[in-house]
Amino acid sequence: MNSNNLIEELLNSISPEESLRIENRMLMAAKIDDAIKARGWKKKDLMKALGKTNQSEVTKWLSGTHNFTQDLLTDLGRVLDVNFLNLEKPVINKEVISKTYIITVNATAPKASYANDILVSCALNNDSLSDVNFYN
Amino acid sequence: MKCRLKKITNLSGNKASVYSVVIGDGNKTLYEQFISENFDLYKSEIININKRLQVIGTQTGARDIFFKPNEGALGDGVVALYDDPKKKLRLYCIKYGNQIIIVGGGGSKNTRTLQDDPKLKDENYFLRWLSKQITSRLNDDIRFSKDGLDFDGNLEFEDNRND
Repeated sequence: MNSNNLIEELLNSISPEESLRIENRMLMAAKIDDAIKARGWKKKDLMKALGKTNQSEVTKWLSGTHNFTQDLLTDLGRVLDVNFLNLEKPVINKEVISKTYIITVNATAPKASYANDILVSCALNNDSLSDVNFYN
Repeated sequence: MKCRLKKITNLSGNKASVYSVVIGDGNKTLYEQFISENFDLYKSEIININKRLQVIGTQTGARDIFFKPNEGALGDGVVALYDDPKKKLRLYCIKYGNQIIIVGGGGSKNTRTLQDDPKLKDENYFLRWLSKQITSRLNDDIRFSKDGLDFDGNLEFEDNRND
């Protein structure tokens, strides 16, 4: 591997899925770190609150390499009084559908001046122009 | 032998700057050497470490929690980036708050202490020496930038430890 672009090549070689996993592990560790600091706690305080005896376990969680389980995040959230799991109903983005109507209007037709009104009405009501009689 | 600090721009961001060290007249940093030396045996770990350094630079900053402390002499800021606990790859760094890290070299740690492994000892003791040099010149010809994200000044050092 060419050393000049080595770092960039490595960054490009990682899959989007793995990249996001690494980011989220580190961001979650940072979030927990912030919650510990906000309470004025040290790692050992968190360890005690969770009934643990091994501080290296807490160190491992905060190292940015840990793949958290839902149970552990629930336990951490309980003792730190922070919701690490967003369990609110997800908002699903509705697909925005747009329609384009192309019509040719005969300028001499008596009802042509209403063409724009008809177009706006169709767009608002989501109607098809095939249902409209322009020459009634 | 001369050496100089070089900022790794594609890992640095508005949370932290990631520097490494170029030895002599070359252009390859100690970090790039570390990658080259370990890529074949530890490909996934290297890719992971590289990404994590980028996340530190751009999103989280160099928080203490991401680094194994006290890997150098007392108070010199030499630390090791935590790796997957099942892995043995050590990457030594010097940390200046949450905003600057200097990434050195490292390697696979298979001995109880780093002093038992000549390669790791060399890499680690070089950073201990470099940290001393920087500390002795801070506020003299090396300064932190106003935003704390960079070193300003003369970033070249003369390594005369073997003279």
